Formats: sequence, structure tokens, C-alpha cells
Amino acid sequence: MVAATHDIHSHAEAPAPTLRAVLFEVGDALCAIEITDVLEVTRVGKVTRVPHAAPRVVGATNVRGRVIPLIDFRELCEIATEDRADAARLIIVRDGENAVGLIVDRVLQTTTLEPGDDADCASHCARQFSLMGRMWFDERIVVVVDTAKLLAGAEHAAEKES
Amino acid sequence: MDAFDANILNEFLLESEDLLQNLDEALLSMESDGAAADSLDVAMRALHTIKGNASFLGLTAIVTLAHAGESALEAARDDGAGLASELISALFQASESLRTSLARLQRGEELQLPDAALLDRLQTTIASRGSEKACASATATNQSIEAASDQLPDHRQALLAAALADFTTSLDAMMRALQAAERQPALCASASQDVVEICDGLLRTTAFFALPLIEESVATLKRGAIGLAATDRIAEYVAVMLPMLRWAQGQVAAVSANQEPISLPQPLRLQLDELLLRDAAAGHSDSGPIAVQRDQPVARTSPSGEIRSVRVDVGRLESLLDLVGELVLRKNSFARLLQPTGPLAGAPGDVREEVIRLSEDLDRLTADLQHATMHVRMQPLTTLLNRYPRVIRDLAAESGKEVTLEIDGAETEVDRSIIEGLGESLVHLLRNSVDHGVESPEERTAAGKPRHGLIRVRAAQSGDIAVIQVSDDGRGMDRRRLIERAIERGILNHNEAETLSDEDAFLLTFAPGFSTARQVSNISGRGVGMDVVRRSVERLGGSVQIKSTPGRGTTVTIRAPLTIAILNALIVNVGDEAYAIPLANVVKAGRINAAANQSSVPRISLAELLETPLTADHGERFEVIVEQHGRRAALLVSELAGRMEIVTKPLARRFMAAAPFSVSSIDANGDVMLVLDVARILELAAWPVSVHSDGKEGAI
Repeated sequence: MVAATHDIHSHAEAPAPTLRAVLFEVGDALCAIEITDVLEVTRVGKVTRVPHAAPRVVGATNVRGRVIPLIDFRELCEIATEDRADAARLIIVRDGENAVGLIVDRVLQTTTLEPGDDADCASHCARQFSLMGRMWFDERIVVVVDTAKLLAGAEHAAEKES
Repeated sequence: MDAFDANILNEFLLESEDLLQNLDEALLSMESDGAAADSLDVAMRALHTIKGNASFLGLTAIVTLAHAGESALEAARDDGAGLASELISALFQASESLRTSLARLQRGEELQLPDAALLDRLQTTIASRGSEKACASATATNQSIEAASDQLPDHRQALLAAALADFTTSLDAMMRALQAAERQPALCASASQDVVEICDGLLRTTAFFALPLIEESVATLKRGAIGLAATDRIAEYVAVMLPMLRWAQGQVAAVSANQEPISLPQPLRLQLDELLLRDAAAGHSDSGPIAVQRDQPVARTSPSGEIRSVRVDVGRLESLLDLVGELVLRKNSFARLLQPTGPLAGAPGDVREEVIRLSEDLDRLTADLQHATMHVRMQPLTTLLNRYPRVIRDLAAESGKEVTLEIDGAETEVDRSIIEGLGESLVHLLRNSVDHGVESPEERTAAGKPRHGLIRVRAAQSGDIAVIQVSDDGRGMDRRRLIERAIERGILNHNEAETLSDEDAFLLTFAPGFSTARQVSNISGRGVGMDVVRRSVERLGGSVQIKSTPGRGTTVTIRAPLTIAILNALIVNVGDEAYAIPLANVVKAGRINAAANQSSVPRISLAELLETPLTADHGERFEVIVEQHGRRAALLVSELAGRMEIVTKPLARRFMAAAPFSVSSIDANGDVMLVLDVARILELAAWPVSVHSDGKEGAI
């Protein structure tokens, strides 16, 4: 479950009435990405480290002939990186014309999310990237990730680095 | 809707670029031969089509400017007196401004309203001609209504008004039918029938009133409606047909307001054709043949009617190439089945033989396929070089020089990524030639040269390298001045200067921030220097060379690989990681030679640079001497794993801007392998060259 400790005031716009999304877990957090941002979900293949890439980029991998940069959600959420479980998956998201892979602990399902209220539902994860909003699934709070902002954040990290 | 819009926008950008190219060529030919009717038509058609497509996309800024240009041309045509040079130059400027708008669109930026001064210039040319029709179209609408009303007898005019009202109702009915079909697929068949019937009625009306452009839109809608009856992609059809309907409504409104209708935007029609084709291929559609129009942007015939070509989206080509790469990998694993450790190692002889035979077939086929796919990406340099007469014209006009441009070998084919990568550099070289190379007409006459400077662009293929030369017969480079400047800038010291060869002296212009231009000119002083040319060429895996004779001219030679899709590379291991080094950069490789320690080549530990842990069995035992632009270094590595032809894959620059890799590749196991950017590594290793950049001047 989401650890409800911090006070987060999301400045994201009011969420759409319902949202088709891919649900996944990272550590204790239940997150979702809007389905239109997702190109596909695959197993995590061999990851090649890319020295001097943006700090949030853990490497690159081959997805059917395309070389795709990878961002590890665990690192984003500052969850200690341990060995990846078999359930770990790569969610390939659209980045303009390109694609970026997000490594997550587990992909649950695609679903339609109900609107959330503005309850204080902070998770450590939530502070790391801009939210689109929070919604409910099966009585759990879902952190809805704004892919574009997430990627922009990783890019800015890259600028600081260089 | 979003993806749909992106496709349309993309088509619009591609088509508009072509049209602007046509416009430029037409303007150039009118400038030299006067207003030949066909050139004028080409120019008008180009602007008209751009205007039509842009108005569909709601790009007001583009519509306004294209309209102004078209009106100006129209006035000139009706006048029959040819185009004044100020009009031609205003139109060139309009073309440039439209290009800028396209570039902004491509980058997803806001469009800026066209320059008011430019619009004024275009309109003034109309006004000064005093042509009635031009005045009408450029100024008040009520005037144009009067003008157009004259063309139809009164009773027909009344009929048309009624027909147009009826038209609007019909279009609304069609829209409702389509929306219903989208909501309830069961209604699809009846909706399709309704739309077909309405279309038939409208087709009769349009034929009667001689409205061919609207007739065409309706005919297209009808084809869509027929397809709709037998598809399971209702939503996709509706997504294309609704905008068509809206388009038709807009055109009917235009006719009502006595404006000229414009033809249905190409992209929409193509999208519908694609849907129809797909369904036809899948056997969804009626047995009746569907007349599919595959014209202009997709398939085209050259003016001579000989070459037929198909325009394919680069993304699709890329993915084709990726898939071929994957096929090669699978083929490799197939071959491994028979290895001593493979699962078929103990198989009976006949099985082994059959597998070997199949594997050899597969080998040959995949190699051919790979080769053929690479070739699909190749384009003639024409696309790039055709822009230059225009560039030279502008530059010469700006600097008051007289210049003739000769282009040779434009048919040389190179990979499209090379074409893209070279564009900027070549323009810069041309600028340098006009601005700093070619002298003023007076100076040339005094030196006993013809008034007209000659700039040559020559392209040729040499093995798997494309050689492109930009040469001028201008004043050449002054060795003494170059050296003075380099010393001033701290790039060179006095001792070095004495022993410097001519060639090396010219290469000094490649140092960042180096410039000997006495003053920053409007033309070359744009902050891009020769160092930028060098860097962008090297990024493509190519090289640049300068030869110059004082008083005789300068020749810059660019060598670039024909394709960057395949790279010859040396594979090395650092610790347990594998990296590729482009063979073009490798001077030699071998065991670290303790005796050669005193050699002047500095050593760079890749393990340190790439933060790779070394293990006891993976120490640094080998060195690879690399060279980039005269600088050498020895890269220390653990193993040399051999030479390989690798298929390159772009790296996500967005997240890897600081990483010292040019591209990536995929190794035999399907893992990502990074290709070292040798230039970058030499820079990262803190090369002891002091660079002073004043950021103001950027040219030779």
C-alpha cells in the first residue's frame, strides 16, 4: 500500500472523469500510465550500461531492433535497487517519434480508473515526478504518472549532468 | 484524432517543402527568362495548394502569406507584363518565410504572423499594376463579390444560392449518419447507403453548376461511404470522412461568399485511399473495383516520365531496417544450432546437411535483403543541391558580388541521414565562398579575372565514400594571416608556426572560435564556423580537407560514408563490456608495448573514462591508437575482439547528450553495443588545446 506520510499538493489539472491506463507496481506504490502513451509491455532483456548518460537512465536495451533508453522506476522512487524479480517488466512509452523503456516491478493489468478525490495520499514515489492526478482502483490509491513530464524531468537531469 | 492530425501535418510538411522547392525553381527561371507562362503557373499552383492545405489545418499565418503571394502572381499574370524584380525578390522572401513557418511547425512551435512589411511589398506590387481583379482579391471582399456576380446570369445565381443551402443540409445529414454509424456499428450499412445516395444527388448538382473541386470532394466522400459498408474499421473511416465533410462545408460556404473553392487536401484523400486499399487487400471490400487514386505525394513520375518513385515515411523505412537487423540475428542463432555446444551437435548427418543448406540459403537471402533495404534509404544529392542556386543568388545579391554556380554529380546517391547531416555544412561552405572567397567584380577585373566568380559544387562516389567538393576561384587563403591569427588566439605558438605545413595552416580554421574575417558580415558571421562544419561532418563519420592557393581560390573537400547504416568497426572489450570503435578512426591496435612508452601519443584509459571496473583477467593489456583530425591517442582496452561490420542504430540523444558515443549497434546476441565517438573521447580526455571563443565571428 501507499505509505501516507507526506503532504502533497498536486498542481496537476483535474483528472479526466475516467482514464484507460496500464497499472503497475513499483515497491509499495500502485502507479498507472495512460494507455495512449504506452507502446507495449515486454520482459526486461539484457541492459547495456551507457556511461555518462543522464543519471536517471540506467542503460539501453534492444526491443525488436530498436535501441531504447531505459529509466528504472525504482531509482526514480529512490527505492533501493535490488535484483529484478521475474515479474519485472518494461513499459515502452512514446517519446515523440522515439520510445523510452520504464522498468517497473510488476505490470498488473490495463483498466479503467475512477476519479480520485483530493485525499492526502502522498507516497514517496509521488514526489519524484509530476502527477496527472490520483485515482482509485480496487480501493487503492493509484498514482497516475504524466509521461511527458517524467521524461522532461529525466532530460533536465541530463542537462545538469552535462 | 491526435495521431491522425500528426499524419496529416506530416504530409502537409512534406508536400509543402516540395511545393516551395517548385516555387523557388519557377521564380529563378522567371528571373532569368522573364515570366514564362508555365513557370508562373507552377509558382501559382504551389502557393495555391499550400494555401488550401494550410487553411484546412487552420494555419492562418501560412494562409495569409500564401494568399498574398498568389494574388501578386495572379495580378502579374493577368497583366501579362512579366514579373518585376522587386516582386520576385518579395516572393523569394515569402518562400523563405513559409519555410521558416514549416520548420517551426515541425518543431511544434507557435507560428508567427507573417511580416507586415513583406505583405505590404506583395500588395504594393499588385496595387501599382492597377489590375482590377487583383485589387479586388487583395482588398475589399464586397468588390470581389460584385466582380464574381457578373459572371453568372441572374436566374442561375438564384438557383445556385438554393442549391448551396440544400448542400449544407445534405452535408449535415451525412455527418449525422456517420456519427450514428460510429456509435452503433449495426447502423453502418444503412448509414453507408444514405451517404452514397446523398452524394449521388450532390454530384449531379456540382456537375450542373460546374463546381469541379467540390465535385471531387463529394466523389471522394462517396468512395469512402462505399468502403464503409464493408469494413470493420468504422471509426477509422469516420475519422477521415468527418473532416472531409467539414472541408466540403467550408468550400460550400466559400462559394456562397463568392470565393474560389480549393481542392480537397491531399493528405485526407490519401488516408482514405489507404484505408480502402487495406480493406481491399484484406478482402473486406465489395468485389467491385475501387478506383484508388495514388497521385502526387505518394507516387510520382519525373518530368521526363521515366523514373517512377514512391514516397515512404522515414519511420517506416527505419522500422523495416530494424526488422531486417532482427532477422539477421535470428539467422545467426540458427547457424549456432550446429556448433559443438549447440542442440543439434549430435544430430544425424542428413539432418545436419539439411540444416547447413537451409542456413546457407538464409545467409544469402538475409544479406541481400539487408543490402536492398540499405539502398532504399539512399537518395540522390539532387534534393540537397537543388536548393543552392537560390542560396547563391541571395548571397551574391547581399554582398554585391557576381557569382556563377556550377553543380556537378548531383545524381550521386547517399543515405538520407547523410543528406540531412550535410545540408547545413554545405550552405556554410557556400557562404564562405561567396563572402570571403570570391572578390568584388572590381577587384577581380583588376586581378585580370573574369567579373563573375565561379563556385563549383562537385559530388562523386568513390568506393563506399561520397566525395563532395566546394571550390571557388576567389582570393584563396592567406597562410600568413591564418598563422598570425592562431598565435593571437593562443592556438599556436611561434615555434610551431614555423614548421607548420600549408595544409595544417588551413586546418587552423577548424579550431573553435577561429576567424580571420576582418569584420563580422551579415552573411557569414552567424556564429557557425568551420569548426561546426568539421564537427557535423565527423559526426557522420566523414572528414573535411582544405586546399587553397592565394589568388587562385579555395577547395574544401568533404568525404562522407555513403551510408551510416553500416559501419566498419573494431570491437574491443573493456572489463567485461564490449564497445565498438569506428575503423575509420583506428590507426593500429596491438598489445601495449612497454618499450614504446616514451612515444608522444598520450594514453587514455577507457576503463577510467567509462567508469568500468577492471578485473584481474580483464586488465588493460591492449591499446588502440585512434586518430581524429590529426590528433592521436592510445585507448587502453582489455581485449581486441575483432573487426566487424555493424548495423548502426540511433541513440536516444535526449537522454544521452553527454555520453561519448556516436551511435549504437546490436551484437550477435541481440544486446546493445555502444560505438565510441572518438572525437568526443579526445575532448573528454582534456586535450591540451586552449580554445578562445569570442562567439561573435564564426567564419574563416
